[in-house]
Amino acid sequence: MNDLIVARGLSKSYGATRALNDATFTVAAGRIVGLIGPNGAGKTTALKAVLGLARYQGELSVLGLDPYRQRHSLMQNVCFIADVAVLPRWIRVRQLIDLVAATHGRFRRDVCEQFLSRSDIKRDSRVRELSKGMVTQLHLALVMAIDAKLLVLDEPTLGLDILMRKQFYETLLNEYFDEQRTILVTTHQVEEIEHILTDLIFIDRGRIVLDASMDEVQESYAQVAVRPEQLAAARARQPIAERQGLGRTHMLFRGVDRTELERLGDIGVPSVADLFVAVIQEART
Amino acid sequence: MSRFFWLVRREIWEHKAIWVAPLIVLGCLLLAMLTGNVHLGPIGSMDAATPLGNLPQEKQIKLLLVVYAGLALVVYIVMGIVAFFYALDSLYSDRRDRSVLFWKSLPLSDAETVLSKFAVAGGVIPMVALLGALLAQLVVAGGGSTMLEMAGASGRIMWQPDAIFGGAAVAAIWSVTAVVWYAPVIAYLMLASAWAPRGPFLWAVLPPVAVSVLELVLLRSTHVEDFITGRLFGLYKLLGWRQQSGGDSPSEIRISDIDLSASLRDFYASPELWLGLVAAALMLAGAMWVRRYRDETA
Repeated sequence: MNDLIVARGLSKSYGATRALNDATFTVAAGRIVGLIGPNGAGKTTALKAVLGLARYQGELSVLGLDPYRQRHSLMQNVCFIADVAVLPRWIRVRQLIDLVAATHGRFRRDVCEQFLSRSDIKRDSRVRELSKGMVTQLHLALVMAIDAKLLVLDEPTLGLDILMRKQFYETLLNEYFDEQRTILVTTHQVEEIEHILTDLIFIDRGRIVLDASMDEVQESYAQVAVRPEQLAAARARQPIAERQGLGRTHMLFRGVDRTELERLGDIGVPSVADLFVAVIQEART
Repeated sequence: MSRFFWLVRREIWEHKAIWVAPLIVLGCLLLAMLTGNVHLGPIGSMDAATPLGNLPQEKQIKLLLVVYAGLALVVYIVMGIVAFFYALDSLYSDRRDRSVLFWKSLPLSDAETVLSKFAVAGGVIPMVALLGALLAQLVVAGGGSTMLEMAGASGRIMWQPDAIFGGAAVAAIWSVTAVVWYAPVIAYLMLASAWAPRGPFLWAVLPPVAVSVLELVLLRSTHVEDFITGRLFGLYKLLGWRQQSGGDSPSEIRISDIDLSASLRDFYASPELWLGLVAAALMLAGAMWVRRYRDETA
């Protein structure tokens, strides 16, 4: 098993609040992993630990390195966007490209120029003269031109309009991602990335409440549009969530046999958002 | 090495004052020359009873040396202010605009970053200052000789090699001396810049002021204050240049009193200088450490 990130018992406190509480998870090579959690769940803290930006308790290895102690070596192969659209405002686009090219051995200028050629970004503009969307495009063009083993994105599409968000994830999937690369991404907008994710990690109140591949999720979780006459029978199967739909009650089941569920109603694949809400609520009670 | 070169270039892109400030000084000087509205100390006396050309050559050279060295001093004071604010801003500006995490996403070590900024404050700025001082000397030599010609005298005395090269040599020696003497001040400002949660100016200036005042109030002594002012203004005392405040009329200035080579020998042998350099190295290491381990997003 080729695990890029192995975290065991990761903890981190800020004063009295425990941002990370005994978190254990792994990220395998060649996957697109969504780290999903409500605000203040510890997503950013976990990413900071992975990137060697924050001290932590517990065991953590990224690309076989200790990210806090060996941050410099780690950054040769890891690339991240911590705050999208936050680039130095005084710099010109051309200067920025020159700088990344001069300081990053794995940066490919032609790839960056190719991404940029699709935008209206002028090479002589200063970053502060660009719109927020353009700064994001620039940031992404820079990062996607770096041949990194691990790309970490923290809320990469925050503040972008829906067209750009869609375009961003399409580019990421079609033109950047391949089996050699691994992407770890956090976001609020689960709906937009669920079709590109291969793995899910749910985090709540510093704890990992789910760490599974999409395939595993689809095997063990099922959403059933329960027929009205089966309501009592369905509830007896202990669904982890229940909500009213149009004329039908939708229930989310974990680890219940498919043939049994078929008798209760129509089986569907739960959306990540529904799954997320259900798993978090279950974990909190 | 080329990475380091690019990092230094980055600083010059960001901090335009490094080359704009000396240009402004030169521009003002040129303007003063063109409007004839200039009173450059001893040269001002050339239309008086004893024009510069009537003095013996040895005196002319001494006079011109004072003028040229004075010009260098003006440029250096301006560039010293530039270096002060540069150092104070160097490890803070990217934290203020939050782009620090972008820089940290590049495979640059924090030691490299800090050293590149120190190289700008202690290398690039002094070199620009020296260049500015030399250009200022040329501007004044050119302007002065034109004024002399227009007054019917020979302008060539402004261009005497002993004065021009002597002035350049003094400027060069001063720039190097100032760097080694002020290195701990630069390092201190960079440490404050890396550490300050916000407003690095106050974080850099208040603690020494507060400690001085506390000492004065509680112990009725001024050791801290003496130490700080000694470092900020003691360069001239150490170099023995206080003797220069001898005469106030041009003929009485006795630059020969200043034995520059002996002063320099004393200066480079003084423990204050070397202890200062050790302190500079320690504070730079501290700045690297703070830059590396500071939690930027907490």
